[in-house]
Amino acid sequence: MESMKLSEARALRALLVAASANVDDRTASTAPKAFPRLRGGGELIAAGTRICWPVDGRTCVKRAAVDLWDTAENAPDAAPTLWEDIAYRDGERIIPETITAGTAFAEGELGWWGDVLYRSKQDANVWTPEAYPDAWEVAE
Amino acid sequence: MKYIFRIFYDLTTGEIIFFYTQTGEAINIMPLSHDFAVYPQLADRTEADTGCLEWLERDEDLETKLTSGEYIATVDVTQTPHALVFTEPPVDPNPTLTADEALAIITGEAE
Repeated sequence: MESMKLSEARALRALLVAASANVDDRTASTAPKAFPRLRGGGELIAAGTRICWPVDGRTCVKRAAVDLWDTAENAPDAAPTLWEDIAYRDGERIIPETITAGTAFAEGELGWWGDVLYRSKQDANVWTPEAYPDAWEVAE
Repeated sequence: MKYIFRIFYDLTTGEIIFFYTQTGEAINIMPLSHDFAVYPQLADRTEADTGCLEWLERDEDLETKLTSGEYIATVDVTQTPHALVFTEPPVDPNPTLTADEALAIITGEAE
C-alpha cells in the first residue's frame, strides 16, 4: 500500500461519508463502514441519517427514526425505538415477518432470514422460510 | 556512596553538549578544569563559553528524562541561575500512517 498521510486518510473518510449519503439502502448494506459512526459527542443526528453500527461482531446500517442527539443513551442498543433497520444486508433483502403482495419475493431472489441466506423457489412468494419452508432453499 | 552528575552546555544557546554520571566510593570529584582537559566532547571549549550544572545527590527522575529520548533537554540561560528544562518534542500534526492506521481512519474506526 502506498504510504498515506493522516490528512489524506481523513479527507478520504470525509469523501466516503459524504458519498454514502447518496446511495440506496441496498447499496448501503454492502458497505456499512462507509457510514458515519456514533461518537457520543452530543451532536444532532437528523432523522433519516444512516450510521454504521456493530451487531453480533459485524457491522450493519441503522437509520435514525427521529432527530436525536449523539449520546450513549440514544445509541441503537440503548434506545432501539429511535432507530430503524434498513431492509437489506450485504446487498440482499432481509425477509420481513410479514410479506405483502407488493414486497413478495420473485423466483430466484435472495433474502436473509436471521443469519441464513435463502433463495425463493417461486414467484410471488409471500411466505417466510419458517412459515412455508418448501418455498425456499438455502443459498450456497 | 559518592555521586556526581554534570551537564555541560553552551552558555549562549543553552544546548547540552555533554553530560556524565559517576557514582561509588572510589570516585574523585574533580574540578571543572579537569573535565575540560579530559573529555573529548569538551575539546576546544572553555568555561568562558560552556556552563556546567552539577548534582551531588542522585535524581533518578532527572537521569531518566535525560536518557529516555522522550524529551528535549536544554538549559534555560535566560534564568539566573541557569536551569535545566525538559520539553516534549513537537508532535507531527500530519504523520505518515501505517496501513492499519490508515484503514482504521478510512473505515471510521478511528479519527
